[in-house]
Amino acid sequence: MKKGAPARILTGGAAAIALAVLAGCATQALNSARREFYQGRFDQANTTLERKVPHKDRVLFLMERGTVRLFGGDYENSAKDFVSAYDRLTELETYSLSQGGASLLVNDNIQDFRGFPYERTLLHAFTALDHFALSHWENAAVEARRLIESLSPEKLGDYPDDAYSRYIAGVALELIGDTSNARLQYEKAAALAEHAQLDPQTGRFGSGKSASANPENELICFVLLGRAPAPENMVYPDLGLYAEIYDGNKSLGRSQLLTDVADLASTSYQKDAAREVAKTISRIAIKETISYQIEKDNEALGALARIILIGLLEQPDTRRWETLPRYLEVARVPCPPDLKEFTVVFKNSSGHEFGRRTISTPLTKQGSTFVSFVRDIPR
Amino acid sequence: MKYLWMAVGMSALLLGGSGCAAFRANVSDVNVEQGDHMRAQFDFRDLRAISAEVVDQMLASPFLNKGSDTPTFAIKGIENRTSDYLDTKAITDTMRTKLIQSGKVQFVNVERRADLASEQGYQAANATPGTGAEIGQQAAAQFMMTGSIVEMKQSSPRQVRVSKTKQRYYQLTMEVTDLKSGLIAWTTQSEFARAERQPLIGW
Repeated sequence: MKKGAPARILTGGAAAIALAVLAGCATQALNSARREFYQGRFDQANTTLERKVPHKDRVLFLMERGTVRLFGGDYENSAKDFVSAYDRLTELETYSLSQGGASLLVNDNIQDFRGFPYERTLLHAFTALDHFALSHWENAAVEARRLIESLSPEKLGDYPDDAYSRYIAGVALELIGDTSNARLQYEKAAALAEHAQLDPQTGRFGSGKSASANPENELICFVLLGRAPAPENMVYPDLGLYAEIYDGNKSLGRSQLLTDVADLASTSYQKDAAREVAKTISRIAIKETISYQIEKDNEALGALARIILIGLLEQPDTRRWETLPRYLEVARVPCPPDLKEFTVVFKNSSGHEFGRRTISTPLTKQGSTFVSFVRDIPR
Repeated sequence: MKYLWMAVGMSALLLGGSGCAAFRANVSDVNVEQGDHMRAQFDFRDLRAISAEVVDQMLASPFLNKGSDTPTFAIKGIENRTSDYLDTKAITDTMRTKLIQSGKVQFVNVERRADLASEQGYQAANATPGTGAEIGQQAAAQFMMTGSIVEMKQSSPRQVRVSKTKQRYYQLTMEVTDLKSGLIAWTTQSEFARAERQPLIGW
């Protein structure tokens, strides 16, 4: 190694640390916003996420801010965030050699965040919720088509499919009168969530007559419960959360679980694990070789290089869409034609109530179908 | 080594001296009738081409050339059945402009009905007698113009490659329905397909 090379490597390492520190500021903002979101302080979380976004985390910021705005009731801007995230993801389909190479020397955190395939699919499912809330039925169908494309074999590969997203696509297509394509999505959702007793012909739940009956008016309420655990969390007990829907004191029905995000996250993480381990081993080998080369010229400098390259810079990439709920459920129940509000009672697996919300907004109507959604976050 | 530095210096000097366009902000007009598509998606050139094609077909059709009366149309919009956020109103606006300018068709202003009613109400309450628009005298549409635009996509399969090819096909169907009989009095289709190739690996 030529004289001066160790110093150059250490300078590079120092620069990488500086970048990591700067990225840390952004992570801090993200974590603050997530905390505020789960405390029900949507405006504060939104303000926190107005800060300048590091380019590599742009998609993650937009996903988180879009979620904050969605459940804070700012549907227009939420949809804009989600659509911007999708546009950026489309640009990221081209693999960056510079970032890929740098990630072999530093860590995966310096690469652009793209998320797992299930996160990219849920991006469209959440955008569709924004459009439902705004009565933008055609736009919801646009998202349904994008969602379906994200679940195509070319895009999904062997990552897990998602019944809830399929169901949202079905609803969006059904509401614009595209019943044949809606049915295809209901069929796929029914196959993925057999326990839900979903009738693929009608998109309704239950067995026999109740599923095939055609009520004059019905309410489709997307119920989002809990908080998705980190994908690397291999143990995530099933909490069995659900919701009951009431019109005054009259029970209209309950929600059915379609997707447990913990399952999607865990399966996706395991699929990537082997590749990640191989990459980490290669990266540590490269860093060790560099440190060894420096050590040959200067022992102290070599040790320092090892501390910087392996001790400080070797960080796992744990970035994920953290404001995602855990349980993605749907209640599709008959309702009165003049429904102005309804009550959602959140219950755990033993039937114990742990919260309730009266919903008057978002509550939109297309034909004889009311559409709404709710999440068990304090307001 | 000395020559290398000289070459670098000269290049920098030349770049600075010429004010290399790539490094400067620049604004220029674009000829809307010429130029290439940048992506395979529906763009403004498609909007112009597809609208013009439909209007030309309609103006040349026997439907508009069989009587002396100018038919009155109401536009009810184009259904977007694609996976893109298309401004389909821009398509109908372009068609309506061309059709009105042809003098062969007239349109009722469906989108401004609430404003019309508001203005008429204002005039009825405040205008000098005889100058206000008479209520109940608006022309009724005889025909309703509707349409839908669909998209089909295909891309090269997963395989070892350095670029991927995507093809997009768009088809616009326009219909004119006789409001009295409910029959479709005229219809046409316009279509195009485009391919784009994107690198899978970049810098």
